[in-house]
Amino acid sequence: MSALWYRKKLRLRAGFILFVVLAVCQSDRAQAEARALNIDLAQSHINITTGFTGALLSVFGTRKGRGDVVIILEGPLKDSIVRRKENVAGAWINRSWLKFKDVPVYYDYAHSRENEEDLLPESERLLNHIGFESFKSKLESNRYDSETVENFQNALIRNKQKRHLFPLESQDVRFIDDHFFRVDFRLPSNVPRGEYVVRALLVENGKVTHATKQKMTVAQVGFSSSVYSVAHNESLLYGVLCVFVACVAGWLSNVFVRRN
Amino acid sequence: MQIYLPIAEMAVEAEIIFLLSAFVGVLSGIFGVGGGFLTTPFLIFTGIPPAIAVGTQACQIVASSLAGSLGHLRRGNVDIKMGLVMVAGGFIGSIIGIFIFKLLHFLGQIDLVISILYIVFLGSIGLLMMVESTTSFFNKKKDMRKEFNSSGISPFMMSLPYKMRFPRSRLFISALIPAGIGFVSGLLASILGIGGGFLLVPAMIYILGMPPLLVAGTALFQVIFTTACATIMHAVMNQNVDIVLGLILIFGGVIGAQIGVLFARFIRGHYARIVLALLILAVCTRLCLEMFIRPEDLFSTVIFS
Repeated sequence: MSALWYRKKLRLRAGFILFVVLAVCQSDRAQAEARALNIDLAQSHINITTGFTGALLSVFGTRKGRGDVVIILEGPLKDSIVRRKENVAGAWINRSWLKFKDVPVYYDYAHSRENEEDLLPESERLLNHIGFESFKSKLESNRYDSETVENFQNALIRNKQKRHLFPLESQDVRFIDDHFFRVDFRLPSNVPRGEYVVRALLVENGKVTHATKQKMTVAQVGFSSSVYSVAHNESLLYGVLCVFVACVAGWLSNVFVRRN
Repeated sequence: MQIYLPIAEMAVEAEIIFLLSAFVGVLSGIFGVGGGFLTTPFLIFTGIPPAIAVGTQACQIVASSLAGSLGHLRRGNVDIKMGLVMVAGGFIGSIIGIFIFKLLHFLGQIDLVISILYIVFLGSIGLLMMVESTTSFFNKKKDMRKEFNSSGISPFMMSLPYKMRFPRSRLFISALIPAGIGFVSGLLASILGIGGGFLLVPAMIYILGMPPLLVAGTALFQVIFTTACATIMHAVMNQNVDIVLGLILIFGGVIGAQIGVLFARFIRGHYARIVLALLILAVCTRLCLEMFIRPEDLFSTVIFS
């Protein structure tokens, strides 16, 4: 009786151990997969102060193997309207327009290949938002022929590049050794506020094998932030305050000049 | 020194903006014009969004016109009654102007309307002033006649109701005329972010027939209230008043205006008006060129928040 019970207990224990071992193996495998590509940001908050003139965002990471690394920095998605001027009676006037949906207000990217085309097939690049081509599919309507539409698409990218919201070309992924890499994104002083996402992709043999991401916030702090929030939440008070400050400044200067 | 503007959400060179507003401030002190017709295009040129430039400029003019008019008030060169009648019209004008501004901004035509309005107003008034001040320069008797009575007012203006006595200006005219001028000034304050001095000064001389001595002070006095109303309306409706940018502009403008008030004592009327006319025509020409020469990039992008 007791021997039977003991054997049963043994069998149970063996089953339990097997389960634990399997579970550990499984989680080990998951961790190994996660470790194939890892990134971290030098800072997860970009603080806009009154002296803000832009910032450097450094992304550090490690990879396993020899695959290519792609890092994408994307700002919040918003709609954009592109307008085209036409000559009306000699004057250049905004006439036709096209709306683009969910275009990132800020975008920058980096990869470890010399040519973007060698990295991934086009469909994969579009899917993963690699390069400017990926925004071109976000048209709201097809009011125009494809050539006109393409002109608008190129203008969107060109206009954003001029305002430093899109890069002129991709950044480099710098390898410090075979596994450890770093990317520096330079954010301009007009970088829009909001929640940003830094995505990292590991590309092997024309396929994305691993992906990971980190969040980053761009926000005003201190005096700038107070001004912004009062102006947007208490706009009447803000307007009255602006007029009050202006009146005090005008009056003070008059008093000052009279004394001299 | 780079400074970050919290509402415009961008950094600018503080010195450049300061120097420009100081220069414009000198003109404001001399001529009784707010000078916004120069500052607004310049701000847009430095990359500040037109909406922010207009809203903030209105705030700056509150300070510069207050500082300018205090000097005139002390010397008794302000017709306060006339000014208040104009303010009444100015409030209505600036409120209506805000709604027009918002509509045009939505339609993407605000830049165009700003340019057209500038070209029409600056062009016609610049030419008018140029012709008048050069002829009066050669014929001083005619100038004297124009300065001290209202014989230039048309019969239609004289027939308007609500006649009011303005003892300081020695005028007996319908209150609707100064209120109407104030109304237009209010529209301009909201749509263009300017005090409208370049329009007010000639209108008060040629339409109201006010003594030129009182014109600059009264115009500045009226502009304080009209632009204060426009600033509050812009802050509420469009959230486009940047107080940091405003303070730089105010600081430069206020210093310039005091220098201008000192200059005004030593400057003869015709010379000053010829110089102002030339300046107005120069800005008008520049705007014309911008509008009629093919732009470098025909496309422009607006992000919707």
